[in-house]
Amino acid sequence: MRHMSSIPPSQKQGHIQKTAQKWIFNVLRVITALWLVVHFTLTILYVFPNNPVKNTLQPVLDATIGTYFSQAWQLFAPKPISIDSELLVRPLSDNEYSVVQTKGLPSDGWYDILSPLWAKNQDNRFSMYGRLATIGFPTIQAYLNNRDNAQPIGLMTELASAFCKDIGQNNASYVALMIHRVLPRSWSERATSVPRVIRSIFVGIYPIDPTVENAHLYQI
Amino acid sequence: MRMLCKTWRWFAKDPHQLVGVRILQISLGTMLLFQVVTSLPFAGYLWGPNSITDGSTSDLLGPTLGDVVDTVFTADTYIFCVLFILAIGALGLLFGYWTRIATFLTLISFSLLTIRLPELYNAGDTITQLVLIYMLFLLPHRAKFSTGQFRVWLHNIAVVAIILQLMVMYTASGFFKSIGPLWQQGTAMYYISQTQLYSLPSASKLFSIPLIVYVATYVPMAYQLLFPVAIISRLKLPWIGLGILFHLGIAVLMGLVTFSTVMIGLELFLISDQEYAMIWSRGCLICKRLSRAVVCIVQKHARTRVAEAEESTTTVG
Repeated sequence: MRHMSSIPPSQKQGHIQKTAQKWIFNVLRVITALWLVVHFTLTILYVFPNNPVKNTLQPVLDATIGTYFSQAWQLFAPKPISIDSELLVRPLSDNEYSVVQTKGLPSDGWYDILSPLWAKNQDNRFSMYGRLATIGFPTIQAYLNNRDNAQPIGLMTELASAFCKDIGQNNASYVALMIHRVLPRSWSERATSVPRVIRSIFVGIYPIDPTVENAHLYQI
Repeated sequence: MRMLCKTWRWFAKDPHQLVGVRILQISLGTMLLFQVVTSLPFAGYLWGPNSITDGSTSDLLGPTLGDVVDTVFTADTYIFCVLFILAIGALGLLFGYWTRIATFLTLISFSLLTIRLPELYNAGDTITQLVLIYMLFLLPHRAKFSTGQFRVWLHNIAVVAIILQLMVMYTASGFFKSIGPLWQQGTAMYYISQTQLYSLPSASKLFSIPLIVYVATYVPMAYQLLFPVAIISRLKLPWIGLGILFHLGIAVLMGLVTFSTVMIGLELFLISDQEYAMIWSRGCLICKRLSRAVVCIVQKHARTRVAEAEESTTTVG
């Protein structure tokens, strides 16, 4: 006690400050450790399939992980990607558009705008073509999941408009969109030359967006 | 209690995975720089005011702040600025300069691009964004630190967060594969090889050979499912080696080069500094032995030649 009383007040204050600082940092350490546990518990619940706990916590999961740490790790699962989805585009002038209204769509003049990108990607893995072709995949998938969804239709129209601009189809005012789903040969047919089944899905006719940026992707 | 103390000391004392962090920074920097360079000719088409998309930050930031941030999408010049900032950040990560600032710049610019056109991005980009968030708390490259500092604690929290994120990614992916009928039958890779986007025509015939398809389907599924257990066991280093081979295969056969670059960086991140030191010393030892063996062979060969030459001169004489 005698020793304590001999410590000058400024030194005592410094000691108290140091202890307080130590405590604050230890509290912060515990908080960060707890955050780690809570964050990854929520992440695990968010990424795994539905279960009773997840269903109860869904609003919390959407507000936290879903908003700021959104993630999905299906990665070719449970159903692997096996279908080639081609996006076919038919530029239409005003005259052709009015003819289409009465006589239906022409069978010629269709362009597949994704296949050239696939081929370029296969030729050069160190390029942007794979990614550019990837845009079409989730877009078509989103359309097939909900055919009234305006967002994928809008994106497909923009892709088609940019394509028309790229190939110099300046007279075209409309674009007809069609999806070709090229189904895979089944495992039992792998050694045969059975042609792959193609399913056509007509999306619709939409006005071309003349303001869209030129892609400089298609040299036809 | 002892376990808790040990864990506390592990977090509090010294920073971990310093070599791994550097490798991760290099891999992310390389991948992002590659993305900037290859996407530059298409910048206006992908993200500009007249681009194919109308993605906005409003969903994430709310209408008021979102509108302000969306200004970057109103001119091609701004988009090029975003790409320039991304390139600066990626270079910082690649060469290890101002890595914390570089991480921050990279995270902001890369997030803006992904929000604008999410359809362009894959799982590799998602894990990149998540890892960049955790990387903000890592010690900067060449930072001076003393044992027990709070920033050392934060560094170690970030290290564990990155490891846990990778574990979640692999386990969830493995789990989803395990419930898929085609993955269970062992033919999933055959079906993936049928697509133009994720296949290499010269290699697609390989995937009609049953043994190759079964191995290529079951091995990744088992690898991902067992990953969290394997990396805390003695199998850790071989498991990481297998993972690197697996991702090299994905890069070549499926064309997912950027995804594989990030994943290889993350696999190498898992190796501790002590393990790197051990690998380095063993590597040096092997190199020394190899060089010694080569020198011995060369000397032996030279001696035989000299002896042969001497023999031929005496015969001639």
